[in-house]
Amino acid sequence: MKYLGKWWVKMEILKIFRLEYDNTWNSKIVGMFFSILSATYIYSLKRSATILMTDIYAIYLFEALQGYMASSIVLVVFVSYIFSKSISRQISSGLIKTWLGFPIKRKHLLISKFVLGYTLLLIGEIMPIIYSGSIYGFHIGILIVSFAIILKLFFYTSYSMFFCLMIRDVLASFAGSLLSLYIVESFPIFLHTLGFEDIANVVDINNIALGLYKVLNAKKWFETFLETNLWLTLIIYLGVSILLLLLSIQIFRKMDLD
Amino acid sequence: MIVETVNLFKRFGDIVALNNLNLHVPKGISGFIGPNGAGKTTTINILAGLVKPTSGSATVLGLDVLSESIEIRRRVRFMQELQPLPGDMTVIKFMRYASMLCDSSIREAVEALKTMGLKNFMERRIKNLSAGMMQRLRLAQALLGNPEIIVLDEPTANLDPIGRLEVLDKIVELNKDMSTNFLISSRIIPELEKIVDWISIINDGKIITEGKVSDLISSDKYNVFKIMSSNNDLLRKIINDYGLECRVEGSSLIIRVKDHWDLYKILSSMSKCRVFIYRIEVLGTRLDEIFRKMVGKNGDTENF
Repeated sequence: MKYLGKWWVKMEILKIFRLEYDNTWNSKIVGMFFSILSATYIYSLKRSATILMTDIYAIYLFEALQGYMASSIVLVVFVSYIFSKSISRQISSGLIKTWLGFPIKRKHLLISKFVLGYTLLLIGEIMPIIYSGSIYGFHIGILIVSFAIILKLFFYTSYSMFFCLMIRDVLASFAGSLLSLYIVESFPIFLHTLGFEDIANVVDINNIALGLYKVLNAKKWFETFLETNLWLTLIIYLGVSILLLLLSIQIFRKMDLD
Repeated sequence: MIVETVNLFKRFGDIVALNNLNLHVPKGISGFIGPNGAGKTTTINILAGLVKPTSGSATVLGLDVLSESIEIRRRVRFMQELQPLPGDMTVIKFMRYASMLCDSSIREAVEALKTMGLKNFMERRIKNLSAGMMQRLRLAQALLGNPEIIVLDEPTANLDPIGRLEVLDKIVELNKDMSTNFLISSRIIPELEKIVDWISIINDGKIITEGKVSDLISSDKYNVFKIMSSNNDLLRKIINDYGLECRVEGSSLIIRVKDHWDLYKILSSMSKCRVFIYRIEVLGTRLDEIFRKMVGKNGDTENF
């Protein structure tokens, strides 16, 4: 019976996936997102391709990072757009009440929105890495960049979902999520300018990929891991992301949809 | 009772939406009426699990609305007032998802569309439907999954007169053929009176009366007349002078009298004052008159 129960939950989430894809996403949005992201990435690769570096893998990682940072701008816009459409708009218009009139759990509805958004955005981010991999060859660097992207995207999506759940106005939630994510991105630069180098390095999410590259190339990798404070950055971003996700689920479960 | 609430209380900030509501709904077709802001939609939203009560309890089919909400939504279909629909979806796609979510079949979805007269609009986008068509679609989705109860909030809103009659006939038919129970919230009382067996009247978040429609009507000791005269203002003054209640309805006055002696007094005064009667109609006691009297007593709406 327990197995059947779990099977039912999976089925329910799959049903909501289909509904959510048609409702919030659609082939036009997915196509546009993938094209813009790939174009940004490829442009970034082409721009940096003339830089001469002796280590071919370092070039690859450098290029991948360049593209990944450039694509962050596009990604932040898309994350904010998708979650303001999927959550704020559905709550403010009352459409979410239509779906919740059917026998589906609020928790499953929100998790489906999160997982679908996260997966599609992740595919959009990973695809260009595979392009660059096909140009420069596949290397451990691809894992580093991919891992950094998975983590960064996890933070973006959980943050944006929480924000859009709090603010029901579509435009305000989109603008607010966009702006605050840029502030989060720019905060380490601000700390650098103030001279707080150590704190800036810890809170800079973009340092994860570079930190991992250093760790994996170091002879004493564990010492380097501790020295670079990479562990602290990982704990901060993973912790905040999980906390925001759990908070969102709790808030949505208790929310009055009047 | 298929729906029961005990001291249901709901507060939105400073506003008390439900004030110890004790609602009882038996099997059959039941009406739930009340003026704007009385708490009808809040009650329905609590039953649907969309709004959490501040205190008190509510059960639907013996299931608790807080802990067994999923099971309730499996056995009960809800149609909220002007429920938003996904405008970019086609009618059939929406119904496909609706049937998928309540474990129904696409065949049943098509059948529901046919029943509601939407067979020729299946490929149309919802945003391109008229307001009446959208209301039919909301009703069609409420028919899916052979529910034991269908809760309808203003089901005839936006429908033309023929559409309204069709919907009411369909409700009676479903109740007869499938034993589906209905809880209908509506402001159009004469319409509701024709089909409901039980009525609950709500005002200021409280149930002011509930019971069988026939019992409520027979308990009312008043007679209601509709008089069209040559001088309604003077007639109104005469009626008020006798300490009786009246209200304007179009070019006529509706008066409530306890016995025919009151009517005789009014008619003789009219004759003395040379107010001519063009038409006089015996209305009898109607549900909307009882509603007006009940709600008026609480000082919420115009007197009577």
